[in-house]
Formats: sequence, structure tokens, C-alpha cells
Amino acid sequence: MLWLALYLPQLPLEVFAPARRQAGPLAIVESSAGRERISRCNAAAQADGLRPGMLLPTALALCAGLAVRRRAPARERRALDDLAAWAYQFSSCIAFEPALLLLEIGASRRLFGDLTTLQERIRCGLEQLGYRVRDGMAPTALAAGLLARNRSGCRVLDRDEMRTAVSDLPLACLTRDAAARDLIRHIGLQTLGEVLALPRPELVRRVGPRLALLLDRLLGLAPDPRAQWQPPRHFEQTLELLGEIGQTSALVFPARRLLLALCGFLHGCGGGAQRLRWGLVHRDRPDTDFDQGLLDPSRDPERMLAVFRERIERLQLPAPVIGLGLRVDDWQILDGCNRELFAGSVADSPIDDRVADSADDRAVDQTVERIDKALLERLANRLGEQRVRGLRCRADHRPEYAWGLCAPGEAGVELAAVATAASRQGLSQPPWLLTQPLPLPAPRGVPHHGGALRLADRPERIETGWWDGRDIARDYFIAQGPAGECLWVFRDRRDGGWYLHGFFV
Amino acid sequence: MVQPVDLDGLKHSGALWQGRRNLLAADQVWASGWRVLDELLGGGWPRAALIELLGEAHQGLPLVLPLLAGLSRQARWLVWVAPPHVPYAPALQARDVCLEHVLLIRDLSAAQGLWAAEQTLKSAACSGVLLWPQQVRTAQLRRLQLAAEQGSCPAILFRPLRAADQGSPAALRLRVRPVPLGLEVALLKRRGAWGGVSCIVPLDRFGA
Amino acid sequence: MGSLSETGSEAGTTMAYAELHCLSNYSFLCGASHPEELVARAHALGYQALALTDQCSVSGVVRAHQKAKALGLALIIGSEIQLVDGPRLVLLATNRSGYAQLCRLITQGRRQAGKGDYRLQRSDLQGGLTDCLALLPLDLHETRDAHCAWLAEAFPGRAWLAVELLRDGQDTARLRLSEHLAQAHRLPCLASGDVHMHVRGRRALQDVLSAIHLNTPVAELGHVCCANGERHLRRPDDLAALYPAPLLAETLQVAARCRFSLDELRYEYPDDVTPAGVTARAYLRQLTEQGIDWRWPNGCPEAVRAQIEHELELIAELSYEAYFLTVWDIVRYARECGILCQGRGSAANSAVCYCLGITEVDPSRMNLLFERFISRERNEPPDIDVDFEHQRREEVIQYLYARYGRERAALAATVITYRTRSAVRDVGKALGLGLEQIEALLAVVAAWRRFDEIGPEQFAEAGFDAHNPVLERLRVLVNLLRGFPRHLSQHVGGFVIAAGRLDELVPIENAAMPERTVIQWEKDDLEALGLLKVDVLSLGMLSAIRRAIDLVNGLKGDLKSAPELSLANIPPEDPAVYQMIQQADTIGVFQIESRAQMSMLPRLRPACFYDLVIEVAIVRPGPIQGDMVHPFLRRRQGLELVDYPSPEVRSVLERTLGVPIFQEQVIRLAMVAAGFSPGEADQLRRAMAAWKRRGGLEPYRKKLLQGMQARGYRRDFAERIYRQILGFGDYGFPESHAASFSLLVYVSAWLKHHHPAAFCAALINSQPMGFYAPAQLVRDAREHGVEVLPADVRHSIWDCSLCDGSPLPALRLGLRLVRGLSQAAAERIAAARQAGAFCDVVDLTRRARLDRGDLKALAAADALQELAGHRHRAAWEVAGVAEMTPLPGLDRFDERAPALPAPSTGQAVLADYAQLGLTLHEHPLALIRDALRARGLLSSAEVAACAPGEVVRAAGLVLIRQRPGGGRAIFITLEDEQGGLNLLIWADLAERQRQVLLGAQLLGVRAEIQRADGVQHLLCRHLEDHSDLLGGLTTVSRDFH
Repeated sequence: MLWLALYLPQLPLEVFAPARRQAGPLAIVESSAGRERISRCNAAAQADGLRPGMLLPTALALCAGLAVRRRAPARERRALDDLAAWAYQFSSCIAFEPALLLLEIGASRRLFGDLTTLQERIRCGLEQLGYRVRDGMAPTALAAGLLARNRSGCRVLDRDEMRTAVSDLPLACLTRDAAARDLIRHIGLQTLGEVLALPRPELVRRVGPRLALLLDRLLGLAPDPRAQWQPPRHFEQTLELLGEIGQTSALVFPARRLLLALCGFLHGCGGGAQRLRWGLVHRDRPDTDFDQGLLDPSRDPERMLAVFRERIERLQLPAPVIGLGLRVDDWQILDGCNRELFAGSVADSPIDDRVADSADDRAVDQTVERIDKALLERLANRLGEQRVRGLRCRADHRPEYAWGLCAPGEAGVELAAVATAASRQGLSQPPWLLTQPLPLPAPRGVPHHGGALRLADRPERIETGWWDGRDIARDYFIAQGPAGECLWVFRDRRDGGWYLHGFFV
Repeated sequence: MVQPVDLDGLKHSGALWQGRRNLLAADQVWASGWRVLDELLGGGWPRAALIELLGEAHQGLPLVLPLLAGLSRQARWLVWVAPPHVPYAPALQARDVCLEHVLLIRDLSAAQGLWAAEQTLKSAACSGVLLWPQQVRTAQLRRLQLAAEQGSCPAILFRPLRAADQGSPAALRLRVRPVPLGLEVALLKRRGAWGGVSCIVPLDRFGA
Repeated sequence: MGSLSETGSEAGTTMAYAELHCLSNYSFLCGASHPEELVARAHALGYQALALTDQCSVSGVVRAHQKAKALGLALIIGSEIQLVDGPRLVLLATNRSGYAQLCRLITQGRRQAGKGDYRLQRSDLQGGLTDCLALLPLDLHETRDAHCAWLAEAFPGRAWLAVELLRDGQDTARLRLSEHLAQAHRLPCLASGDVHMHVRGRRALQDVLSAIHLNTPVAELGHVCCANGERHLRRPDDLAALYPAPLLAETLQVAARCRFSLDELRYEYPDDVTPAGVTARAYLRQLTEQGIDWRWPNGCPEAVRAQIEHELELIAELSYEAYFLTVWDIVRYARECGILCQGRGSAANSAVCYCLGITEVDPSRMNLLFERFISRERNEPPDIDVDFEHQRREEVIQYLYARYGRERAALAATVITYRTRSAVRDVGKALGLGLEQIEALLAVVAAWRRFDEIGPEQFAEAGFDAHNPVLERLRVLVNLLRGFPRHLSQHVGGFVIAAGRLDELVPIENAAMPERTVIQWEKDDLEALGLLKVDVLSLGMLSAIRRAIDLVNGLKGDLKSAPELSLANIPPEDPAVYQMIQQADTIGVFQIESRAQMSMLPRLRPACFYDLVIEVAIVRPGPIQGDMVHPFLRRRQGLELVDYPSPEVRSVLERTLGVPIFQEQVIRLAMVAAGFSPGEADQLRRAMAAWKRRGGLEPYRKKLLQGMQARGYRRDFAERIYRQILGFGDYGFPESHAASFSLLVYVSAWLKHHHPAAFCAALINSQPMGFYAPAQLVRDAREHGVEVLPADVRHSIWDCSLCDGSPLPALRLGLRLVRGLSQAAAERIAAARQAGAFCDVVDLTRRARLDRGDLKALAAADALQELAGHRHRAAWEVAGVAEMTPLPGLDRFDERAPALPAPSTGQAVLADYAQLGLTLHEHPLALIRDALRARGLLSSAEVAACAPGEVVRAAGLVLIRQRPGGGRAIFITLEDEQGGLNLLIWADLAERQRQVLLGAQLLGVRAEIQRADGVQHLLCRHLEDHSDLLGGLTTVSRDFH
């Protein structure tokens, strides 16, 4: 075994602003014991005197234009994932530690010949991707990681050399175990070499077996099992058509075949796809590509096909089609039963949150949901999502802002208290609202709309909204028009003007 | 604000048509919320049929609000196709319309509107479909009527008064007109009943 | 306040109305106007009366009462209560008895819940509030028939339905419902406004308060926001248009029944102390006579006797005997428990207090001004403040609770109000600003101390778009919110004790600290109503002095002092002590150990007690800002002639060489030179104390200048006096107070001089207190020849102690310095040692029942030297101590001992600092002196050898950073192995090099040496951070106190 460790010291920063880009001062904060502290900061911020560990207010006092981001472990994990995918070209055995990638290159070494070339290629590649990297190479993963973090560029090929290579490093590099570190500090020692020289049983009795195990793993005396990263599987298939097809409706049949294949694949891995990419192959011109979206991940071929139908109906074929391709670049775990597949591969990483959401909280009433979603998808694909909306109340006294559009079916998220308050107010308000209040003529102070309006007494006074600059001050009246119609009008308390804002009847 | 009220006064005044013949079976209708209207409709709104309300675009809505409140309790979409103004969410909620199931389809061409109405009616995923069509041909009305039956879903069309002259396959056609006491509803056509009668649906429009 | 008929204002003739439901900002984070604003507005609108009905509170009523009295508005006192099992109610007191019932109910509700909360249910009201009226504010959705029925029964003939029309679109329904309920339950209806603000314009602030309360940005408050601004005191014609006339008229009926005024409160001081059969007057006389014999065994001086008779006469006339006896009793209790105490403040002007042992300032040595303490003109209770040892004050407090009971004694409240910073933070959050923006704003605020002075340029400088409307909103709202009460806290020590039930005078509620209860009024409220309070304060130096005396008295053999030392027999006016003080050798001495004080000592050269009094009073922000220091110094050094514009002024200012230094002098000056009456002069004193917060000195200025000019004083003299008054602000000391403190200055200086080991040990044992950390105290003691022995499990107890040494006793550091060691463990070690010395670490562990944490702490502190060898071995050893096993012998192992290196001096110093906070080894800078020299940095001794005016580079550990009064000058004290360096940094340099200033532990400077009167400052031109040289050494500096 030979491990190449790639340490990305600035990863928490780089996930927000890749190093190669010129950036203003940026700092990552983490909170500990209720106080926000700087955990990383970029060069621009350091130039202003920022240092990791500083309290946020101090940092902001030092650096006026500082951009502050909270540390995002999920992003870091995703970035590592992407990097692993990229590094898969060099090794089929990849493991993680936070901010660290470990590639087993012993096996693939001969494929790339010279180790130096390999190391250089990887380093350059990462830098082009926008990451600063430090690397280390050693026969154990632990040692490689240690070297990458503390002695970048160091290469140890032989187990026997390892002891020497790490002996100068402080123990703190190896373990966070506070008890062990405390002891070593208190007895006046510091380096791994000194620790390795201590009588082993006596040491174990004082700090427990964990440190001893780590030391053994470091030197390759004990196995160091690590979860391996699994490459994502994506789906791509193309179907050659038997003849040239000029009508979109004729594409439905081949599409169905592709969808069946896709859904079979998704079944195999317990996943569902949400975005499909279709490609129509023409004879003498570039492919026609288009996306097909689903509201949520699915592996139901019929549902997908229905959407496909709606989608191609709107399509103008630029030329006859000779082939049909389907690609799914990413898919998601669809149900709980297959989760171990993923969970296993990332079990040791505390920062993975990719797997946590979706799936479970959905699918209450499968049958109704299925019909619903299918209808929505058809409508949205044909008319556009922005034309198919849900309606909801917003907690605001101003009529303009007391309602809003939302994704269909999502209106029910309001708190009960909000709903109650809205209902109470809504009782005296009309079912129709004009998008824009309509100014009304008001000769001799009496508002007119097809004739003089008769106003009910006790208007509703709404004056609020000062915080966003759209403060209103209005008296709303229920008014009756000459034909008996019933209107909602208001008098603006600022300009005294009259406006029509809604209809009761 | 739309509330069923005691109608005794109206009954005694003779303003009410109290025919009891040809009432539809209870499982084929939705109670309207007003006895006077139920009587006019022969028991209530038909459950799976095309209904036309003729009047100003916004005027018919109060009449069907109790119906909508009932329909929206179902876990199916209550679809509004091309409404003329903003359906005001707080007011609807206050009148017990469950907003979670409201589906708003807007900014459409005339053809898109009809297409959307037909699709939703047919889908069996909707409890009711409201449509404000720009213009609609009789053949299209027929398709809507069929779709309503197919999806077992009431289709409520709000059309201008002048459409009264046009023939229609709708199961129910009413003309609405605001009057000081509420809404005057005139029956233009109803399956299995005569037209030409009317009633006044009292609306307590001044809140509370 | 009087009856209704006297109060009508001409402003509103359209209708007569009394607002009966009104919350002020004393319903914390609810109402958006001050009580005074509400009263003034109600008066201006011609309201017949206003009820202040804060939520389960009467905290704001005194302010409202004062304003209402001044304006002649009828104020009704009430409270809004939300019942847990019933409706929200408004209760109004009709008379004194009703007020008592209300206070008891509020007390009950508050005491049944945690701090800041209350809990009341219907059964708490049943039948108990016979002299209160109840209003049930109608809630369209909550009010039930059952509520009405219950109310009608619980308050027969005294209950109303309050109809509150707020133009929310449902007023019609509300009126309809009220008619229905009124009829059904035979309850009359009246109009009320649920007022939350005095004018409509406060609506934004009201929303902000809700946002703060719910910790939600305003934009997300939704329906919690006010739909409109109707909850204000509306115009009469507006109300007339809104409400049916009978509802408005009914408010007058209710108002007419509420005839209670706070003026009726008759407060009686408890007389529990006087023995049966004796009058308080006789008993006070008796105790005073005893005190005279005790204080002056050789006979009382004539003048003092006359003073005492004068005081007793005045005390009798104003019936304050019981108050004096109460304080005497507290002091007596403390003495019996061996708790050191001493009165401070204006009470030190009283010879009677001296005789009673309350104060220690000998009237025969001082010029007392009894009128400053009690006066006939000022109808205002005396205020006796007594300091107790800070670590034992709680015993005194609990004695008071035990003696008088929780119904009779409670602490005064302190209303915590919004300051600029807290207002910016809360308003910023409410407006949805982000973390970074708020911090940046606070930075602007910090740089510009007064928020209203911050203009667009300053915001722009800080990187804001100065014309951003959000910023403008923030400015307006912050200015409004500033000064708003936020919550009640406890006063530092002000006890209120009543003869009868205190909770019938003012409600009592729980404080944040367990076992503490506070009343709902604060100090100013108490004064306004003539309630007496005793301030039971804490003072760290008293603890230290008591400990030092105990240590000295505990010495044995040759070192023992005879007779036993006590405060009373410390020899006065010891020249050696003054000599030490003159050399500014005062680390650890009370009051004169600060940088500013120490730099003044060699110039002022105090040589007698009164010099100390002046020293204590003059080095204060007040006199400094009032430009009194330099004239005084020049005159004292004979560089400037002292002249007085008149004999009257001379009589006042002669003892301070023509410069007003004490508050009393300002008052006297106003009287003799500007013709103020004693009462006016005292009002001036109060205004002085408050003007920074509230302003309002302008009228006095006019009167002062006019008065002085009329008496022939020159305009510039008058202006100077006025400026000096302004300078006093919050900070001026009364002479009597300075005198009380000076006693402690002298005593602590005497102890430092004669018993440096005991003094040092006592200071360390009383930590935290004072300016200096143990490291500096120990270094100072060693410089004075005290042998300091390390903390060691074989010898040390918890506290630092004294042991044999020659010629002086030696100081043994206590185990209390060992970080991570509990006091209980230290005490077990000392106890186990009694049975015989420890033979090894295991023996120590077993017999003292130490856990691993204790052992590690001891090893790291090098306290196991003799048992386990050097620190590193000790650490290895203690880590190997096995958990306790039942069988002796099994817990010992044969082990290979690794070869561990002994710590180097550098390591030892680092470890000492980390574990003990001090080292007996070399100073850390001695270890890196070569490196410092290589960087061209001088030591303090080398700086001392340079000439004044020279520009040098030097460095030292940052000991103390100070910015007195938030001024333009920053003082830093550096320390190295040879001594200290005093830095003076102006604000502009500090601003430019903020990060070095705040960040550096080892601070280097390029600075000019300034030396005058033996005081050396380095006027800094550039700052450098050399902290990298320190490695892991952590020093503790005390920042910006």
C-alpha cells in the first residue's frame, strides 16, 4: 500500500471563493460556547490583521469590508466528493478525512509510471480547480495524512523510514484526544518520537488503548480499515431509430423503451431521477437537447412518459430524428431501504448531510399524490411553472401583501396562529382584490364608481408597513354602488384620494 | 360574509319560488348554503356538470363560496382558471376555503385556458374547476361538459351577460345581478326544470 | 391630585372622557411611551383622568404621579392582569385599601412565577379586592359568557365591560357583542382605548418592541404588528365620533370612584430595635451617649458635643430615630459576626453615626456638613450607605430578611434601561440587519459615543450607505428607544424596610438571584415618596483588611504583635506610611493604586489624613474634566497665588486652596455666592448627578450666573464655577464620602507598610478585587523583602498564609492559586496532613481523597515537588495513580519509569503562569531579554536611565489597559523583569493601530519620555506587537475597566 494524502487547508474558504479568483476579505466563522470566532480567513483578510481564533466583533472592527460566512460542512463535504470523482482517474481506492483526500496509489502506480509525475499532475490539477493543496505520501494512510498536513511534499516509500519521518512531529498532529495530549504536555514531551519511546504498558495504563492503537496504525503495525468512497453512477443510453422520424408523436414509443431501461437502473440502486436530459440525434446537424423536469424524484416510467408527451408536443423539430438519447446525470436515493448503501460509505465522516433529507417525509397518500403530481407536471410542462401556482395567505396587515403565490399545495405551511389572525381580518374583507388600487373620482369628497358610492360607517383603518418603505395609511370602507354592487374602497390618509381595491359582489 | 339566513320572511313575501318537483337526488348535488338557492337549483349545485353563471366577471363568486369551501375540504385541487382579479387569500380563508388545495392557473391565452380547464376536469384530481373564459364556442362548451362528467367534477363558468343569447349544453345556467339586499339569481336553464324563475340570495355583505 | 372637579382642562370641550386602560413602557417591551409622556398627553387633550395600568406592575406609577401632580391631572392607579384560567382584566384602585389589595395581588402573582413573569388565576382574585374596580376588555374571539358571569359575581357592582374600538374592521361586531353581554350579565359598558402609546407616531416603535419581545424581525411579525396606530391617546372629537356617548360618559363614573393618590401613602419606619418600655428617642440618646464614651474616653470635645446635640434635635424633629436605630442594629449584627463594615457617603457627615459606630470619620478631625445628610428644608429621607466585606455581605442581607420577613423587607429595584449600544443591537435585529452590519454599527457607536451625533459621514466611513432608509429608521428608533426601561433588576444593596406590610405599599417580586426579592420601585421613586432605604453595599477592601488583621494577629512567637491589632488601634498619621504613599509605592492600597492616582501621588505628596481625602476626591473624572486638578496642584506647590473673590467664597474653598473639589463645596458656593436656598442648592446637586442622562441643567445655569453677577462676581468666575459643576456630573465625590474612603486608604497603606506579607496574602485571598492580579501583588511583596514560598501540598492551606521567616514573616502561597483545584480538596489535604506527613502521591491521594483532576492540577502547579519530583515526573506519576481499590496494596504497580527531562526555566515559567497565574521564577521577559535586545528594545530600567524628551523603543507585558471615562487618552501599564512602564496613547494613534493595541500581549512602543515630579510617562508614537517572542506564554491582562 502506498497512500497519497491531499490536504486542502483552505477548503472551508474555498468552497465560498476559489483561491484563484481575486476576492475581497473573507472569513469563515464558527461558533463555540455561544461566541462567533474566525476559523479561517483569506489573504486579503489576513492583510487586515485577521487571525483564526479571533472573535467576530474584533475581526469586523479590524476589517470593515469583511464578508463573513458561517462554516458549511455540507459544502465542504460536497466539494470533497467532487474532488474524489475527479481523482478517481488516479486511484480506485479513495478515502476521506475532513479537508483531506486519501488516494491509494500503490495499485495504480505503474499506470502512471513515475511517482513524481503523478504527484505533480495531481497537484496542478487541483490548483486549476481552485484548491490549494498540500500532499504527503507514505505506506500508511495515517502517516500520509500527517505528512500532508505538517510536512507537505514529504514522500516516504518504506515502512522503516516512517518512524524517522514522523518522529519530529508533535503529538498534537496525530490525535485530538485531550487526555493523551495533556499528559504528554505535562510530562514535558512533545514529539511523536518521544511518545513512541515511552514504555508502552505504562503509557496505555495512563491514557488508555486508543493512543497506542493510533501509534500502531501510524507505523503500519495495526490495520487501518477505512470506508471507501463510492463513485456516483449515472445513466446514459442512446437508441438508434429504425427510420427517420419527422413527427414528434412517433418518438413516444422509443422514449418509452429508454424510460423503462432508466427506471430499471434506478430500481437497482434504489434511486429516483428528477431531471432527465433528452437528446434528439439528427443526420447532419447538432443534436437537439432538452430537459425534462419532474417535481420530485421518481422511477415511474409511465409518469415520466406522460410528461415527455406534454414536453414534445410543444417542440418544433428542426430536422428528422435518427436517434434518441437519454441521460441522467444525478439521481437521488428514493426510499429508506437502500440508505445503508450510501451511509456505509460515509459512516466515518461527521460532516455529511447529503443523505439526510428527502424521501421519508414525502409520500403520505401515494395514490392521490400520484394523480396530483401527474396533473401538475402536465400543466406545468405545457403552460410553464409560473402559470400554475398555489395561493396562500401572508401574515401582513397590508392587503397587497396579505396574499401570495406559492408552489401548488404549499399554502398549508402557515402557523395556526397566523391562519386564525388572517381569518379574523379576512371576514370583513372581499374575496376579490384588485392588483392595483384604482383611483376613483370623488367630486365634493364623495367617491364615485359608476355613480356616487354609499359608504358604510366604521371603516377599517390599516396603517402599517413602515419597515420596508411601503408604509400605508388608509381607511377601508365597504361601499355600495348605484346598481347595488358592493365594493371595497379606501381613502388614503396621506393624499386624501379615494381608491377601489376590491369587490364583494 | 356569505351566510345562510332565515328565509321565512322571503318565503312569506312570495318572492320565492318553492317548487318541489324534479328535485335531484341528494347524492347528485352540493348544498349551496342557502335554502332559497337550493330550492331554485332543485336541491343544490349539480356535482359533475357544467354550470354557467352569467354576469359581471367578479359577481358570481360569492354565490359559490360555500360550495368552494366544501369542495376544498377534499384532498383534490380546486382549480381557478384565468380569474379576472386576485382571489384574495385572507378573505377566502376566512370563508373556510382551504387554500392548500387551491390551484391558480393564470396569464393564459384563451385556448390555453380552455385546455387547462378540460385537462383538470378530466383528471379526476380536482374537486372543482372555475373558469373565466374569454370567448367560448358551443363545441368547446360541450367538451367541457363531457370532461366534467368524465372527471366527476363541477365546472363553473363565469361568463358575461350577453352569453345568455348563445345556446349552451350546460346543465345549469344562472344569471346573477347585485341588488341592495344581495344577489338576484335568475334561473335560465336547468336540466329537468323550467327557466325564468328567480330568487334573491341575501348576502350579509357588511362584514361580520 | 384632588377630585375630578378641580382638574378639568379647557382643551377638550367636545366631550369628557377618562382613559382607564393604558400601558406605559413599564409593561416592559409592550407600551411605547414613557408614563410622563402619557400623562402630559392626556392632560393636553383634556382628559378628565388617566389610569396607568401596566401589566401586573406599578413600576411606572411614581413617575406618572409626579407628572400628573405637576400638571393637575387625575391619575388612577391600576394594573392589567392576564389570568391563566380566565380573561384579561384591568383592576383599578379606588382608595388606599384598594391600592394595598392591588399591591398584594401583584406581589402574589409575581412571587408565584420566575423573574419577570407572573401567574394569577381566578381564585386569587375571589373576594379579595373589595376596594378595586374591574374592567373586562372585550375580546371578540376570547370573551365568553362564563367570564362575564364570573366577573359580575367576583366584583359585584364594581365590574364593567370595556369596549375598545380600534378601527380594525370589527368595531361594529364588538359593539353588538358588548350590548349582548351587557344585557345578559347586567354589566355596564364603558369606552376604553387599550392605550400603548401617547401619540400615533409611536407605532413603529411599538412594532419594534413586539419584535424584540418575540425575537423576530419586524418584517416577519405579520399580524402581531399593529394593524394601525389607534392604540394611542386619541383626540376627544375622534372618540366622540367613534363611541356611543353613554360609553364615554360611563368612564367618568368610574374615574370618579377612583380617589386614591400616591400622596396618601404614609410610610412608617419600623421600630423593632427599641426595647420595650423605652422610646426610640431615649434609646437613640442612650446609644449615642455610650458611643461618646467609647469614642472619646478622655472626654468629648466641646464642638462635637454641640454638633451631636444639634443632630439629635433634628433627628427628633423629623422622627428619624427608628431609621438610625435600624442601621445601628445592622452594624451591630455585622460586628458580632466579625464582619468588617463602615458607613460611606453623606452619613459620614454625622457625629451621631460616628458614635453609633456606623461611620468611622472622626468629627473632631473633620469639618462636617450635617445638612448635607439631613436637612429641614429638604423634605427628604436620609440615606445611609454601609459597606460590608464583599464576601460576607450576603450574611447581612439574609439577616435583614430573617429579622423583618419578606413582607416587610425587600431590595429596591433598578430599572435597566436601554443604552445606545443595546438599543442599536435590538433595533438592528428587529429591522432584520445581519450580524456583521450590527457589529459594524456598534463599532461606529463605540467610536462616537453619542448616537445622535453620528452623522451620515460617520456611517459612510464605516462602509454604510448613509442614505439607506433602513439606517435612517434605525437612527430614529434608536433615539426613541434609548432610555426605555427594559426590565427590573435589583439595586446593588438598597433595602427598604416597612413597619407594616411592605407589600401593601409596593408590590414585591422575585429577583434573578435566588433568595432575593425586590420591590417594583427604584431609588428615585423611593425618594420621591419619602421612603427610607438602607444601602447594604459590598467592598472588597474591607475583606482584605479584615483578613490582613487576622493574619497579623495569628502570628506566633516573636512575630506576634501586642496588643492585638484592630482597626481602632492602628496608629494614625504615621509619617513612614505617608512617605511610602508619596513615592507612589501603593500597589494594592485602596483607591490610590490606579495609574492616575499613582501618578498624582508624587506631585500631591499627601502628608496628612486630609491630604488623602483630597487625593481620593481630586483624581476623579469629574474634577479632571472640570479642570480642577492643575490649579490645585499649582497652588499647592506654591506656583500660583490663591485669591478669593469674597470672604464668603473663601470660607467655602479655603481648605481646598480655592478650587472646588467636593460636592458639598459646590452646594455651599451656590448658596453663598449665587443666593440659592439650601433646598435649591440640593436640587442643583441632584440635577448635577443626572444631567448626563437627562439634561436639565440649563435653568440652574441661568440662575447661577445671574445670582453670582448680582452679587458682584465676575462673569468668567461664574462661568468657571458652572463648568466645574458640569464636570462633576456623575463623578463628583462628597467630602464625607472621600473621608470615609480615605480611612481605608490609610489603613490599607499602613498594613502594606508594616505587614507587607499579611497584606499581600489578604489581597490574594480576597480576589477578585482591586486593580492587580496575584502576580503583580506577589512581585511587589517580594520587592519589599517578603519571602514568598511556593504552593506545596505539604505546607499550604487553601488561603495564602504566613509562616516563620526572618526578619519578616514569610508568605506561603495558598492552594487557591492552583487552577482546577477545588476548595474542598484543598481543605481535605490540610486536614489529612494533621495526621502525619504524606509519604508519596498515592498516600496523598488516598488520605485526602483526591480525584484525578485535583492531582493533575497539583502536579501542573508544581505543588508535589517533594513527593514526586519535578513537574514532569509528577505529571507522569499522578497519571499512573489507579482508581481507588478496596484492597490496599493492589493499587501500587511496579513500573518502568521513563527518563523524563526536568523542565527548563522557560518551561517552568510558562507552566507557572498557566497553572498559578504567577511565577516565583524569573520574570518571563528576563528569559527573552536577549531576543528583545536583539530587536533593539529597552528594559524599564534602561528607559529610566534615559533623559526626558528622548525617543526610545521599549517593550513589556501588557498589564492593564485603561480608558478613563471613555476619554481621548488611553493608559497602558507595561511590565518587565525590572519594573513597569506607563504608556500614554492618544485616541488617534489608538484608532490607527487598534489591532496592535488590542491584540498585543508583549507590546513594544516607540515613544517620547516625559518626566515630571518623579512621574514618568511614555508618550507613544508607534506601537509594535512582539507577542511572537512569548511562545505559548499567556498573560492575563485586565482590559478597559
